[in-house]
Amino acid sequence: MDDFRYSIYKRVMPLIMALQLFLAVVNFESDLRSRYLYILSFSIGIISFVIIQDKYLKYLASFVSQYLIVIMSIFNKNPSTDAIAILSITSMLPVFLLSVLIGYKNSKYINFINIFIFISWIYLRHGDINTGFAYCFVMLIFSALFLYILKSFEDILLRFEEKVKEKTEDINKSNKDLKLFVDKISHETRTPLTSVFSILNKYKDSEDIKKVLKSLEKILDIINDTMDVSKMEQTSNLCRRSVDIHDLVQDSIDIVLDSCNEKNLYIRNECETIHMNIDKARFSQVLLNLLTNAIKFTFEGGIIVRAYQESSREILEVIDTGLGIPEEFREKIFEAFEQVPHEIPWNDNLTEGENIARIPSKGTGLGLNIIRRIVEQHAGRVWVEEMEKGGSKFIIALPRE
Amino acid sequence: MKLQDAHVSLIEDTQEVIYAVQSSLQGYIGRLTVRFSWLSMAAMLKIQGMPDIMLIDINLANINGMEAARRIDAMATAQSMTKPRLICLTASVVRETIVEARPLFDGFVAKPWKDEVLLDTLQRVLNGENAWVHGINGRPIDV
Repeated sequence: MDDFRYSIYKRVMPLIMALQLFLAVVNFESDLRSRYLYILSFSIGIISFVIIQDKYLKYLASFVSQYLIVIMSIFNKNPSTDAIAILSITSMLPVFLLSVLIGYKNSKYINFINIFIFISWIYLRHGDINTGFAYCFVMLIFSALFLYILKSFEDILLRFEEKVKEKTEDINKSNKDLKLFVDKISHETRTPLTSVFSILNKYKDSEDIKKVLKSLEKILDIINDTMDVSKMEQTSNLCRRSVDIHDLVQDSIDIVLDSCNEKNLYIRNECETIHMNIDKARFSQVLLNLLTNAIKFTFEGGIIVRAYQESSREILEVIDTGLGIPEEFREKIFEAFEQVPHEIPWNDNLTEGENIARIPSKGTGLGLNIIRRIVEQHAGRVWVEEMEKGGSKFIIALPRE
Repeated sequence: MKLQDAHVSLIEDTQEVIYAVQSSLQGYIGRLTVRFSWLSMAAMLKIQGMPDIMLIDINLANINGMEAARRIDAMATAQSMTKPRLICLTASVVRETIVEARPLFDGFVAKPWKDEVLLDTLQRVLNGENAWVHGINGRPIDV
């Protein structure tokens, strides 16, 4: 982009100088010596600008020729040379404006000098030569200092930008390495688990072995959730198509029905038959996570799933009669590894063994985070509200297409 | 006191850990009572009195294990009961946890554990010793 901006600038400047050269040539009122000097300085300026490749030297060449005109007009005191001088200075204004508009930083700084020179020229033209020269000298020093300070700031900013870029690259590399590490660990952990599972499965009739298998399934859940999060961070490609949400919910309910029956909970599909443009596999995961959580933290009553359309949104709700979520956790629980510290109530009407059997497994703390990521990939939003009589309502809102 | 005569109470809210403790101690101790939280344990203590040893998990809902240990001490003092020996049973073996637990507990067993290590620690604590060990090999935990 800098090259583009500069290319505009270097096309405009020679045109202005060519115009000035033309005016110098046709300035028949001026004396011959002055005209030759003007023509010479404009010619030098325009030729230098065209020939010189270095950007800063280009500027220097163009401005030196302009300054020479100003200085000559001071001594000439000819109205038509005044006109040329004014034209020289005021021609810097559109150049200044152009460079500001197109954002070429250095020309902006250097053009400040012309404004100061113009002010000095006003003093000199009206006869106050000493003040004018003194002012001119001071302005030159000041503008040089100003230019130096601005350039220094620019250098500092540039160095800062480079450091930020370097750090960003380091962070990106670390993230990439971490993802690779997570993937590798997940993969290598599954291998020994495979043999453990297959051997223990032969003895699953034993109560102790059943408990061991359940713990192993939990370990697998941790690995799977970690890999899901890692995958979602690497790619957000969705395979979206029109899906009947009623059927999708019913499929998920069929999977968790046994768990509901074990706890004597009802589960109802109250979804309208609507089609949503979603990634079916990812949304199945969302539903299963929500239903599993609902069953885990509900001890009496049950779960209802609703889906309906509003004018601009499609809504999916999972409502349970469980423990509920305290207000201070309703935002936090969607962050990775955040869990609600539910205190499981002790039921004196049950035996110790029955109470222990009711304890929900703690999970990884990634389930709701995964849900949020999937919903956000669909440009939607997920949140939780408390129900009046206790329990929770998880709501997913997707934009209607 | 012998372990076979001891009443051990466990405050733990993870099902698998409860089953593991039950499996490790079954047949070796007099009696094991389990509760999921400090509140339900406090209600039980008021009715049944203090056990000989309490195994307490650090990461409990609402009131953590450290606070539960303080409240047990306060309850025993307030009701002029013999304070039980307290053992911290936890997967958190970071320095900060151990330093905080030192003045509150008589023993510390880092999960996971082998049966013999847990039983040995229980007996040593019953004998009046302080026992701070890694559950899998019985090596002492240093701060």
